[in-house]
Amino acid sequence: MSGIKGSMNLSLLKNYELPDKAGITDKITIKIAKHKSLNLIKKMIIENVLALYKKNSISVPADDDFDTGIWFVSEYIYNRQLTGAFNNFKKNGFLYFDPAKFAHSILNSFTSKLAESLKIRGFSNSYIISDLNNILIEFSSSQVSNGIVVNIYKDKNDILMEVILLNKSFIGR
Amino acid sequence: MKRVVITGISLVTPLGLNKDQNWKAILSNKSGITRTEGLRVKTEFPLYAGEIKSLINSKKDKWLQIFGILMEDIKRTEKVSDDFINESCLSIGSAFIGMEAYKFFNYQTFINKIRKRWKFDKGINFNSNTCAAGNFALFNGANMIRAGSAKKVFCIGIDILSEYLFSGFFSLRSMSKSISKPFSYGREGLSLGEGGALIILEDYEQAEKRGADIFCEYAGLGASIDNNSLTGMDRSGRGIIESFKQALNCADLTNDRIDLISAHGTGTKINDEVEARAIIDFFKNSPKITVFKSYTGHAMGASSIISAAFLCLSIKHGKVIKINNLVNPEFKLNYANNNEDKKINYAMNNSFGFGGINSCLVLKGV
Repeated sequence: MSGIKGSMNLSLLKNYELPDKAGITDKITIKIAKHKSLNLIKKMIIENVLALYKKNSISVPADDDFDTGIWFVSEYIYNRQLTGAFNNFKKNGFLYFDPAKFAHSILNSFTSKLAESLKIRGFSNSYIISDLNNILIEFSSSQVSNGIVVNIYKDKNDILMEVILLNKSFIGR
Repeated sequence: MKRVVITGISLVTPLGLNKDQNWKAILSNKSGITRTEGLRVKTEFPLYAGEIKSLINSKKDKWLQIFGILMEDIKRTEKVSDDFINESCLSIGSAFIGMEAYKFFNYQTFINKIRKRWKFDKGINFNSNTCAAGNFALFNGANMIRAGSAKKVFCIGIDILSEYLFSGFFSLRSMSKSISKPFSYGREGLSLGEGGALIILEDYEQAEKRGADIFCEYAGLGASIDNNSLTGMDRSGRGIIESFKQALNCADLTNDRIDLISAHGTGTKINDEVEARAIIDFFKNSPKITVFKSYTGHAMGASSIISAAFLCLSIKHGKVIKINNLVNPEFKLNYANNNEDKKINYAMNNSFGFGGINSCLVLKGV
Protein backbone atom coordinates (compact mmCIF):
# COMPACT_ATOMS: atom_id res chain seq x y z
CA MET A 1 0.00 0.00 0.00
CA SER A 2 1.32 3.43 -0.88
CA GLY A 3 0.12 7.00 -0.75
CA ILE A 4 -1.83 8.57 2.05
CA LYS A 5 -5.54 8.63 2.54
CA GLY A 6 -6.00 12.09 1.18
CA SER A 7 -5.35 13.88 4.45
CA MET A 8 -3.07 16.90 4.83
CA ASN A 9 0.55 16.29 3.98
CA LEU A 10 2.37 15.62 7.25
CA SER A 11 5.73 14.29 8.34
CA LEU A 12 7.11 11.77 5.85
CA LEU A 13 9.23 10.16 8.54
CA LYS A 14 6.66 9.90 11.32
CA ASN A 15 5.24 6.47 10.58
CA TYR A 16 8.24 5.17 8.70
CA GLU A 17 10.33 2.41 10.27
CA LEU A 18 14.01 3.28 10.48
CA PRO A 19 16.63 1.96 9.90
CA ASP A 20 15.35 0.96 6.48
CA LYS A 21 16.74 -0.73 3.41
CA ALA A 22 15.68 1.94 0.99
CA GLY A 23 18.76 4.09 0.77
CA ILE A 24 18.31 6.87 3.33
CA THR A 25 21.71 8.46 4.01
CA ASP A 26 20.72 11.22 6.41
CA LYS A 27 17.77 13.36 7.50
CA ILE A 28 16.98 16.51 9.37
CA THR A 29 13.80 18.21 10.65
CA ILE A 30 13.70 21.98 11.23
CA LYS A 31 11.05 24.43 12.34
CA ILE A 32 10.32 27.30 9.96
CA ALA A 33 9.36 30.65 11.44
CA LYS A 34 5.80 31.65 10.59
CA HIS A 35 5.28 34.32 7.93
CA LYS A 36 8.67 33.57 6.40
CA SER A 37 8.55 34.51 2.72
CA LEU A 38 8.69 31.76 0.09
CA ASN A 39 12.09 33.07 -1.03
CA LEU A 40 13.46 32.80 2.48
CA ILE A 41 12.03 29.30 2.83
CA LYS A 42 13.83 28.34 -0.41
CA LYS A 43 17.06 29.83 0.93
CA MET A 44 16.65 27.92 4.17
CA ILE A 45 16.13 24.62 2.31
CA ILE A 46 19.25 25.18 0.20
CA GLU A 47 21.37 26.02 3.25
CA ASN A 48 20.21 22.90 5.04
CA VAL A 49 20.77 20.61 2.05
CA LEU A 50 24.29 22.02 1.67
CA ALA A 51 24.92 21.50 5.39
CA LEU A 52 23.78 17.87 5.08
CA TYR A 53 26.01 17.45 2.01
CA LYS A 54 28.97 18.77 3.99
CA LYS A 55 28.23 16.54 6.98
CA ASN A 56 28.11 13.48 4.69
CA SER A 57 31.04 14.54 2.47
CA ILE A 58 28.81 14.83 -0.62
CA SER A 59 29.72 17.23 -3.46
CA VAL A 60 27.25 19.45 -5.33
CA PRO A 61 26.65 17.81 -8.76
CA ALA A 62 28.64 19.07 -11.76
CA ASP A 63 26.84 20.97 -14.57
CA ASP A 64 26.54 17.90 -16.83
CA ASP A 65 25.60 15.52 -14.02
CA PHE A 66 22.15 13.95 -14.50
CA ASP A 67 22.56 11.50 -11.61
CA THR A 68 20.75 13.39 -8.83
CA GLY A 69 16.98 13.85 -8.40
CA ILE A 70 14.72 15.92 -6.16
CA TRP A 71 11.35 15.10 -4.64
CA PHE A 72 9.41 18.00 -3.14
CA VAL A 73 6.22 17.50 -1.13
CA SER A 74 4.10 20.35 0.18
CA GLU A 75 0.44 21.11 0.27
CA TYR A 76 1.32 24.13 2.41
CA ILE A 77 3.54 25.70 -0.28
CA TYR A 78 1.05 24.83 -3.06
CA ASN A 79 -1.77 26.69 -1.30
CA ARG A 80 0.46 29.65 -0.38
CA GLN A 81 1.80 30.06 -3.93
CA LEU A 82 -1.60 30.01 -5.57
CA THR A 83 -3.28 32.18 -2.94
CA GLY A 84 -0.56 34.83 -3.31
CA ALA A 85 -0.66 34.82 -7.11
CA PHE A 86 -4.45 34.83 -7.19
CA ASN A 87 -4.53 37.93 -4.95
CA ASN A 88 -2.15 39.67 -7.38
CA PHE A 89 -4.40 38.65 -10.29
CA LYS A 90 -7.49 40.05 -8.55
CA LYS A 91 -5.71 43.28 -7.63
CA ASN A 92 -4.18 43.97 -11.06
CA GLY A 93 -6.95 42.63 -13.28
CA PHE A 94 -6.95 40.33 -16.28
CA LEU A 95 -4.74 42.44 -18.57
CA TYR A 96 -2.11 43.42 -16.00
CA PHE A 97 -1.39 40.19 -14.16
CA ASP A 98 2.32 39.99 -13.34
CA PRO A 99 3.79 37.13 -15.45
CA ALA A 100 6.42 36.42 -12.80
CA LYS A 101 3.68 35.99 -10.17
CA PHE A 102 1.88 33.59 -12.50
CA ALA A 103 5.01 31.55 -13.22
CA HIS A 104 5.82 31.36 -9.51
CA SER A 105 2.32 30.12 -8.63
CA ILE A 106 3.15 26.65 -9.88
CA LEU A 107 4.43 24.08 -7.40
CA ASN A 108 7.22 22.74 -9.56
CA SER A 109 8.53 26.27 -10.13
CA PHE A 110 9.46 26.12 -6.43
CA THR A 111 11.15 22.74 -6.95
CA SER A 112 12.84 24.01 -10.07
CA LYS A 113 14.43 26.92 -8.20
CA LEU A 114 15.78 24.46 -5.61
CA ALA A 115 17.08 22.22 -8.40
CA GLU A 116 18.80 25.16 -10.09
CA SER A 117 20.57 26.27 -6.90
CA LEU A 118 21.61 22.71 -6.03
CA LYS A 119 22.53 21.85 -9.67
CA ILE A 120 20.10 18.93 -9.81
CA ARG A 121 19.28 17.87 -13.38
CA GLY A 122 18.44 14.17 -13.27
CA PHE A 123 14.88 14.02 -11.95
CA SER A 124 12.27 16.21 -10.32
CA ASN A 125 8.86 15.40 -8.90
CA SER A 126 6.61 17.83 -7.01
CA TYR A 127 3.84 16.40 -4.87
CA ILE A 128 0.99 18.10 -3.05
CA ILE A 129 0.56 14.89 -1.07
CA SER A 130 2.55 11.68 -1.01
CA ASP A 131 4.39 9.45 1.46
CA LEU A 132 7.92 8.25 1.98
CA ASN A 133 7.20 4.70 0.86
CA ASN A 134 6.00 6.01 -2.50
CA ILE A 135 8.99 8.33 -2.91
CA LEU A 136 11.44 5.55 -2.08
CA ILE A 137 9.79 3.32 -4.68
CA GLU A 138 10.13 6.11 -7.25
CA PHE A 139 13.75 6.72 -6.29
CA SER A 140 14.52 3.01 -6.75
CA SER A 141 12.74 3.01 -10.14
CA SER A 142 14.36 6.22 -11.38
CA GLN A 143 17.61 6.46 -13.31
CA VAL A 144 19.34 8.63 -10.67
CA SER A 145 21.74 7.34 -8.00
CA ASN A 146 21.28 10.21 -5.51
CA GLY A 147 18.16 11.91 -4.25
CA ILE A 148 16.98 14.75 -2.05
CA VAL A 149 13.53 14.73 -0.48
CA VAL A 150 12.12 17.98 0.91
CA ASN A 151 8.81 18.04 2.76
CA ILE A 152 7.20 21.17 4.21
CA TYR A 153 4.11 20.71 6.31
CA LYS A 154 1.97 22.18 9.02
CA ASP A 155 1.86 20.41 12.36
CA LYS A 156 -0.68 22.09 14.62
CA ASN A 157 0.65 25.66 14.77
CA ASP A 158 4.13 24.94 13.49
CA ILE A 159 5.56 24.89 9.98
CA LEU A 160 8.15 22.14 9.72
CA MET A 161 10.65 21.14 7.09
CA GLU A 162 12.15 17.69 6.58
CA VAL A 163 15.17 17.12 4.36
CA ILE A 164 16.15 13.53 3.55
CA LEU A 165 19.19 12.44 1.54
CA LEU A 166 19.01 9.27 -0.54
CA ASN A 167 21.69 7.16 -2.18
CA LYS A 168 21.15 3.94 -4.10
CA SER A 169 24.33 2.36 -2.79
CA PHE A 170 22.63 2.30 0.62
CA ILE A 171 19.71 0.23 -0.64
CA GLY A 172 19.59 -3.18 0.97
CA ARG A 173 22.22 -2.44 3.62
CA MET B 1 9.92 -7.10 -12.76
CA LYS B 2 6.11 -7.10 -12.87
CA ARG B 3 4.52 -6.13 -16.18
CA VAL B 4 2.11 -3.19 -16.00
CA VAL B 5 -0.72 -2.90 -18.52
CA ILE B 6 -3.41 -0.37 -19.36
CA THR B 7 -6.85 -1.88 -18.85
CA GLY B 8 -9.14 1.12 -18.81
CA ILE B 9 -9.37 4.54 -20.42
CA SER B 10 -11.75 7.44 -20.09
CA LEU B 11 -11.53 10.91 -21.62
CA VAL B 12 -13.29 14.22 -21.07
CA THR B 13 -12.14 16.88 -23.56
CA PRO B 14 -13.72 19.46 -25.88
CA LEU B 15 -14.15 16.53 -28.29
CA GLY B 16 -16.49 14.57 -26.03
CA LEU B 17 -17.43 13.43 -22.56
CA ASN B 18 -16.34 9.80 -22.83
CA LYS B 19 -13.77 7.60 -24.54
CA ASP B 20 -15.91 6.63 -27.53
CA GLN B 21 -16.99 10.20 -28.35
CA ASN B 22 -13.37 11.35 -28.18
CA TRP B 23 -12.01 8.57 -30.36
CA LYS B 24 -14.76 9.00 -32.94
CA ALA B 25 -14.15 12.78 -33.08
CA ILE B 26 -10.39 12.53 -33.42
CA LEU B 27 -10.70 9.82 -36.10
CA SER B 28 -12.80 12.26 -38.10
CA ASN B 29 -10.13 14.97 -37.47
CA LYS B 30 -12.64 17.25 -35.80
CA SER B 31 -11.00 20.04 -33.79
CA GLY B 32 -12.22 20.96 -30.33
CA ILE B 33 -10.50 24.36 -30.41
CA THR B 34 -13.03 27.14 -30.96
CA ARG B 35 -13.66 30.74 -29.98
CA THR B 36 -14.15 30.92 -26.21
CA GLU B 37 -17.62 31.57 -24.85
CA GLY B 38 -17.22 31.13 -21.11
CA LEU B 39 -14.79 33.94 -20.25
CA ARG B 40 -16.05 37.07 -18.54
CA VAL B 41 -13.31 39.35 -19.87
CA LYS B 42 -12.69 41.44 -22.97
CA THR B 43 -9.43 41.23 -24.90
CA GLU B 44 -7.99 42.97 -27.97
CA PHE B 45 -8.35 39.84 -30.04
CA PRO B 46 -10.74 36.87 -29.84
CA LEU B 47 -9.45 34.00 -27.73
CA TYR B 48 -9.47 30.43 -29.03
CA ALA B 49 -9.29 27.44 -26.73
CA GLY B 50 -10.32 23.84 -26.28
CA GLU B 51 -13.30 24.69 -24.11
CA ILE B 52 -15.80 22.06 -22.99
CA LYS B 53 -18.99 23.83 -24.06
CA SER B 54 -21.35 21.69 -21.97
CA LEU B 55 -19.50 22.72 -18.79
CA ILE B 56 -19.30 26.47 -19.49
CA ASN B 57 -21.95 27.30 -16.93
CA SER B 58 -20.21 25.46 -14.10
CA LYS B 59 -19.44 28.27 -11.69
CA LYS B 60 -17.59 26.03 -9.27
CA ASP B 61 -16.60 22.39 -8.89
CA LYS B 62 -15.92 22.00 -12.63
CA TRP B 63 -12.74 20.11 -11.73
CA LEU B 64 -14.77 17.69 -9.60
CA GLN B 65 -17.46 17.39 -12.24
CA ILE B 66 -14.84 16.18 -14.72
CA PHE B 67 -13.50 13.77 -12.10
CA GLY B 68 -17.02 12.38 -11.62
CA ILE B 69 -17.67 12.07 -15.37
CA LEU B 70 -14.39 10.16 -15.84
CA MET B 71 -15.21 7.79 -12.99
CA GLU B 72 -18.78 7.12 -14.15
CA ASP B 73 -17.61 6.54 -17.73
CA ILE B 74 -14.96 4.04 -16.68
CA LYS B 75 -17.48 2.19 -14.51
CA ARG B 76 -19.80 1.92 -17.49
CA THR B 77 -17.35 1.10 -20.29
CA GLU B 78 -14.83 -1.09 -18.47
CA LYS B 79 -17.42 -2.63 -16.12
CA VAL B 80 -15.51 -1.53 -13.04
CA SER B 81 -17.27 -2.13 -9.70
CA ASP B 82 -17.17 0.02 -6.54
CA ASP B 83 -15.17 -2.78 -4.86
CA PHE B 84 -12.62 -2.67 -7.70
CA ILE B 85 -12.25 1.09 -7.20
CA ASN B 86 -11.85 0.75 -3.48
CA GLU B 87 -9.12 -1.85 -3.94
CA SER B 88 -7.21 0.61 -6.16
CA CYS B 89 -4.74 3.39 -5.41
CA LEU B 90 -5.27 6.83 -6.91
CA SER B 91 -2.48 8.80 -8.55
CA ILE B 92 -3.50 12.29 -9.69
CA GLY B 93 -1.72 15.08 -11.53
CA SER B 94 -2.92 18.66 -11.86
CA ALA B 95 -1.20 22.03 -12.17
CA PHE B 96 -3.98 24.33 -10.98
CA ILE B 97 -6.38 22.34 -8.80
CA GLY B 98 -8.43 24.81 -6.78
CA MET B 99 -8.56 27.58 -9.37
CA GLU B 100 -12.22 27.78 -10.41
CA ALA B 101 -13.60 30.78 -12.32
CA TYR B 102 -12.81 33.80 -10.13
CA LYS B 103 -12.04 31.91 -6.92
CA PHE B 104 -9.29 29.82 -5.42
CA PHE B 105 -10.44 26.89 -3.28
CA ASN B 106 -8.05 25.16 -0.92
CA TYR B 107 -6.78 21.82 -2.20
CA GLN B 108 -8.31 19.98 0.78
CA THR B 109 -11.82 20.94 -0.35
CA PHE B 110 -11.38 18.79 -3.43
CA ILE B 111 -9.63 15.81 -1.92
CA ASN B 112 -12.21 15.55 0.88
CA LYS B 113 -15.01 15.35 -1.69
CA ILE B 114 -13.15 12.67 -3.68
CA ARG B 115 -12.60 10.66 -0.50
CA LYS B 116 -16.24 11.01 0.53
CA ARG B 117 -17.63 9.80 -2.81
CA TRP B 118 -14.95 7.41 -4.12
CA LYS B 119 -12.96 6.45 -0.99
CA PHE B 120 -9.72 5.14 -2.54
CA ASP B 121 -8.75 3.75 0.87
CA LYS B 122 -5.58 2.19 -0.53
CA GLY B 123 -3.97 5.59 -0.84
CA ILE B 124 -3.72 8.78 -2.87
CA ASN B 125 -0.66 10.46 -4.37
CA PHE B 126 -1.16 13.92 -5.88
CA ASN B 127 1.55 15.48 -8.03
CA SER B 128 1.70 18.98 -9.49
CA ASN B 129 4.29 18.96 -12.27
CA THR B 130 2.60 21.44 -14.66
CA CYS B 131 2.28 20.03 -18.18
CA ALA B 132 4.08 16.81 -17.25
CA ALA B 133 1.76 16.00 -14.32
CA GLY B 134 -0.16 13.31 -16.23
CA ASN B 135 3.00 11.49 -17.33
CA PHE B 136 4.19 11.57 -13.71
CA ALA B 137 0.87 10.19 -12.44
CA LEU B 138 1.40 7.20 -14.75
CA PHE B 139 5.04 6.83 -13.68
CA ASN B 140 3.94 6.85 -10.06
CA GLY B 141 1.18 4.28 -10.64
CA ALA B 142 3.39 1.94 -12.66
CA ASN B 143 6.15 2.00 -10.05
CA MET B 144 3.73 1.13 -7.26
CA ILE B 145 2.58 -1.93 -9.23
CA ARG B 146 6.11 -2.96 -10.23
CA ALA B 147 7.19 -2.74 -6.59
CA GLY B 148 4.23 -4.86 -5.47
CA SER B 149 2.86 -1.96 -3.46
CA ALA B 150 -0.42 -1.89 -5.45
CA LYS B 151 -2.27 -4.21 -7.84
CA LYS B 152 -4.14 -1.53 -9.70
CA VAL B 153 -3.92 2.24 -9.85
CA PHE B 154 -6.36 4.83 -11.22
CA CYS B 155 -4.17 7.50 -12.85
CA ILE B 156 -5.97 10.76 -13.47
CA GLY B 157 -5.02 14.20 -14.77
CA ILE B 158 -7.43 17.14 -14.80
CA ASP B 159 -7.12 20.90 -15.34
CA ILE B 160 -9.73 23.47 -16.27
CA LEU B 161 -9.83 26.83 -17.99
CA SER B 162 -10.24 29.90 -15.85
CA GLU B 163 -9.74 33.64 -16.19
CA TYR B 164 -6.65 33.20 -14.01
CA LEU B 165 -5.10 30.77 -16.49
CA PHE B 166 -5.89 32.88 -19.56
CA SER B 167 -4.56 35.97 -17.84
CA GLY B 168 -1.34 34.16 -16.87
CA PHE B 169 -0.61 32.95 -20.38
CA PHE B 170 -1.75 36.27 -21.82
CA SER B 171 0.83 38.03 -19.61
CA LEU B 172 3.53 35.59 -20.73
CA ARG B 173 2.61 36.37 -24.37
CA SER B 174 2.60 32.69 -25.23
CA MET B 175 -0.97 32.38 -26.54
CA SER B 176 -1.79 32.17 -30.22
CA LYS B 177 -4.15 34.77 -31.69
CA SER B 178 -5.61 32.05 -33.87
CA ILE B 179 -5.86 28.26 -33.50
CA SER B 180 -2.37 26.96 -32.74
CA LYS B 181 -0.28 25.60 -35.61
CA PRO B 182 2.28 23.18 -34.17
CA PHE B 183 5.60 22.87 -36.04
CA SER B 184 4.38 25.29 -38.75
CA TYR B 185 6.35 28.31 -39.98
CA GLY B 186 3.54 30.69 -39.06
CA ARG B 187 3.00 29.37 -35.54
CA GLU B 188 2.51 32.08 -32.94
CA GLY B 189 1.76 30.31 -29.71
CA LEU B 190 -0.43 27.81 -27.91
CA SER B 191 -4.17 27.31 -27.63
CA LEU B 192 -5.23 26.53 -24.09
CA GLY B 193 -7.54 23.63 -23.35
CA GLU B 194 -9.28 21.83 -20.51
CA GLY B 195 -10.43 18.37 -19.54
CA GLY B 196 -9.04 15.19 -18.15
CA ALA B 197 -8.23 11.56 -18.68
CA LEU B 198 -8.31 8.45 -16.55
CA ILE B 199 -6.06 5.48 -17.24
CA ILE B 200 -6.24 2.28 -15.22
CA LEU B 201 -2.87 0.61 -14.72
CA GLU B 202 -2.94 -3.00 -13.61
CA ASP B 203 -0.62 -5.85 -12.84
CA TYR B 204 -0.49 -7.91 -16.07
CA GLU B 205 -1.09 -11.26 -14.40
CA GLN B 206 -4.12 -9.99 -12.53
CA ALA B 207 -5.51 -8.35 -15.67
CA GLU B 208 -5.13 -11.61 -17.61
CA LYS B 209 -6.73 -13.56 -14.80
CA ARG B 210 -9.83 -11.40 -14.75
CA GLY B 211 -10.02 -11.32 -18.57
CA ALA B 212 -9.54 -7.55 -18.83
CA ASP B 213 -9.29 -5.87 -22.22
CA ILE B 214 -5.64 -4.75 -22.50
CA PHE B 215 -4.96 -1.59 -24.51
CA CYS B 216 -1.15 -1.59 -24.30
CA GLU B 217 1.71 -1.91 -21.84
CA TYR B 218 3.63 0.66 -19.80
CA ALA B 219 7.30 0.40 -20.77
CA GLY B 220 8.98 3.25 -18.89
CA LEU B 221 9.49 6.96 -18.34
CA GLY B 222 12.50 9.22 -18.67
CA ALA B 223 12.84 12.63 -17.06
CA SER B 224 15.28 15.49 -16.64
CA ILE B 225 15.41 19.14 -15.63
CA ASP B 226 16.67 22.01 -17.82
CA ASN B 227 17.70 24.44 -15.04
CA ASN B 228 17.34 27.22 -17.59
CA SER B 229 14.47 29.50 -16.57
CA LEU B 230 10.99 29.04 -15.14
CA THR B 231 9.14 29.40 -18.42
CA GLY B 232 11.80 28.99 -21.11
CA MET B 233 13.39 25.79 -22.36
CA ASP B 234 17.10 25.04 -22.61
CA ARG B 235 17.57 25.85 -26.30
CA SER B 236 20.43 23.38 -26.69
CA GLY B 237 17.88 20.57 -26.24
CA ARG B 238 20.27 18.77 -23.88
CA GLY B 239 17.63 18.26 -21.20
CA ILE B 240 15.11 16.84 -23.65
CA ILE B 241 17.66 14.48 -25.20
CA GLU B 242 18.63 13.30 -21.73
CA SER B 243 14.96 12.48 -21.02
CA PHE B 244 14.79 10.52 -24.33
CA LYS B 245 17.88 8.55 -23.27
CA GLN B 246 16.47 7.86 -19.81
CA ALA B 247 13.13 6.75 -21.27
CA LEU B 248 14.72 4.29 -23.69
CA ASN B 249 17.06 3.05 -21.00
CA CYS B 250 14.11 2.47 -18.68
CA ALA B 251 12.24 0.60 -21.44
CA ASP B 252 15.41 -1.26 -22.49
CA LEU B 253 15.19 -0.01 -26.09
CA THR B 254 17.56 1.44 -28.67
CA ASN B 255 16.88 4.74 -30.46
CA ASP B 256 15.57 3.06 -33.62
CA ARG B 257 12.61 1.29 -31.97
CA ILE B 258 10.07 4.08 -31.48
CA ASP B 259 7.40 4.03 -34.20
CA LEU B 260 5.28 6.99 -33.13
CA ILE B 261 5.87 10.09 -31.01
CA SER B 262 3.06 12.11 -29.51
CA ALA B 263 4.94 15.42 -29.46
CA HIS B 264 4.53 18.10 -26.82
CA GLY B 265 3.96 20.41 -29.82
CA THR B 266 2.46 23.43 -28.09
CA GLY B 267 2.83 25.65 -31.15
CA THR B 268 5.13 28.17 -29.47
CA LYS B 269 8.20 29.29 -31.46
CA ILE B 270 10.90 28.03 -29.13
CA ASN B 271 9.23 24.91 -27.74
CA ASP B 272 8.50 23.39 -31.14
CA GLU B 273 11.95 24.25 -32.47
CA VAL B 274 13.83 22.73 -29.52
CA GLU B 275 11.65 19.61 -29.52
CA ALA B 276 11.91 19.13 -33.31
CA ARG B 277 15.71 19.50 -33.32
CA ALA B 278 16.06 17.08 -30.38
CA ILE B 279 13.93 14.47 -32.18
CA ILE B 280 15.92 14.90 -35.42
CA ASP B 281 19.26 14.65 -33.56
CA PHE B 282 18.36 11.68 -31.39
CA PHE B 283 16.14 9.26 -33.30
CA LYS B 284 17.71 7.29 -36.13
CA ASN B 285 14.55 5.85 -37.67
CA SER B 286 12.52 9.04 -38.25
CA PRO B 287 9.49 8.08 -36.13
CA LYS B 288 6.03 9.32 -37.11
CA ILE B 289 5.05 12.53 -35.28
CA THR B 290 1.54 13.34 -34.10
CA VAL B 291 0.19 16.12 -31.82
CA PHE B 292 -3.06 15.40 -29.95
CA LYS B 293 -3.07 18.93 -28.48
CA SER B 294 -3.78 20.20 -31.98
CA TYR B 295 -7.34 18.87 -31.44
CA THR B 296 -7.92 19.47 -27.72
CA GLY B 297 -5.79 22.51 -26.85
CA HIS B 298 -3.17 22.51 -24.14
CA ALA B 299 -4.90 21.33 -20.96
CA MET B 300 -1.92 22.03 -18.66
CA GLY B 301 -1.51 19.31 -16.01
CA ALA B 302 -4.01 17.11 -17.84
CA SER B 303 -2.40 17.46 -21.26
CA SER B 304 0.10 14.63 -21.02
CA ILE B 305 -2.38 12.06 -19.71
CA ILE B 306 -4.95 13.12 -22.34
CA SER B 307 -2.26 12.56 -25.01
CA ALA B 308 -1.27 9.27 -23.36
CA ALA B 309 -4.90 8.09 -23.47
CA PHE B 310 -5.18 8.93 -27.19
CA LEU B 311 -1.83 7.21 -27.75
CA CYS B 312 -3.10 4.04 -26.04
CA LEU B 313 -6.12 4.08 -28.36
CA SER B 314 -3.85 4.65 -31.39
CA ILE B 315 -1.74 1.63 -30.41
CA LYS B 316 -4.78 -0.53 -29.71
CA HIS B 317 -6.47 0.33 -33.02
CA GLY B 318 -3.27 0.60 -35.11
CA LYS B 319 -4.11 4.17 -36.19
CA VAL B 320 -1.90 7.22 -36.51
CA ILE B 321 -3.88 10.46 -36.23
CA LYS B 322 -2.84 13.35 -38.48
CA ILE B 323 -1.72 16.64 -36.95
CA ASN B 324 -4.45 19.27 -37.10
CA ASN B 325 -3.61 22.71 -38.53
CA LEU B 326 -0.12 21.77 -39.72
CA VAL B 327 0.51 24.53 -42.25
CA ASN B 328 3.84 24.73 -44.07
CA PRO B 329 5.92 22.72 -41.59
CA GLU B 330 9.27 24.18 -40.58
CA PHE B 331 11.29 21.13 -39.60
CA LYS B 332 12.22 17.89 -41.36
CA LEU B 333 10.14 15.57 -39.23
CA ASN B 334 8.07 12.60 -40.34
CA TYR B 335 4.73 14.34 -39.68
CA ALA B 336 1.42 12.53 -39.66
CA ASN B 337 -0.16 14.40 -42.59
CA ASN B 338 -3.07 12.00 -42.84
CA ASN B 339 -4.68 9.39 -40.65
CA GLU B 340 -3.07 6.09 -41.44
CA ASP B 341 -3.16 2.44 -40.42
CA LYS B 342 0.09 1.38 -38.80
CA LYS B 343 1.21 -1.33 -36.42
CA ILE B 344 2.70 0.53 -33.48
CA ASN B 345 5.14 -1.53 -31.43
CA TYR B 346 6.50 1.31 -29.29
CA ALA B 347 5.26 4.86 -28.89
CA MET B 348 6.50 7.84 -26.90
CA ASN B 349 4.53 10.61 -25.19
CA ASN B 350 6.54 13.82 -24.74
CA SER B 351 5.68 16.44 -22.17
CA PHE B 352 7.82 19.40 -21.13
CA GLY B 353 6.66 21.86 -18.51
CA PHE B 354 7.32 25.11 -16.65
CA GLY B 355 10.34 24.90 -14.45
CA GLY B 356 12.20 23.06 -17.22
CA ILE B 357 10.77 19.66 -16.36
CA ASN B 358 11.06 17.15 -19.22
CA SER B 359 9.28 13.80 -19.37
CA CYS B 360 8.91 11.06 -21.99
CA LEU B 361 6.61 8.11 -21.45
CA VAL B 362 7.11 4.91 -23.45
CA LEU B 363 4.16 2.62 -24.25
CA LYS B 364 4.35 -0.81 -25.87
CA GLY B 365 1.83 -2.57 -28.08
CA VAL B 366 0.66 -6.00 -26.88
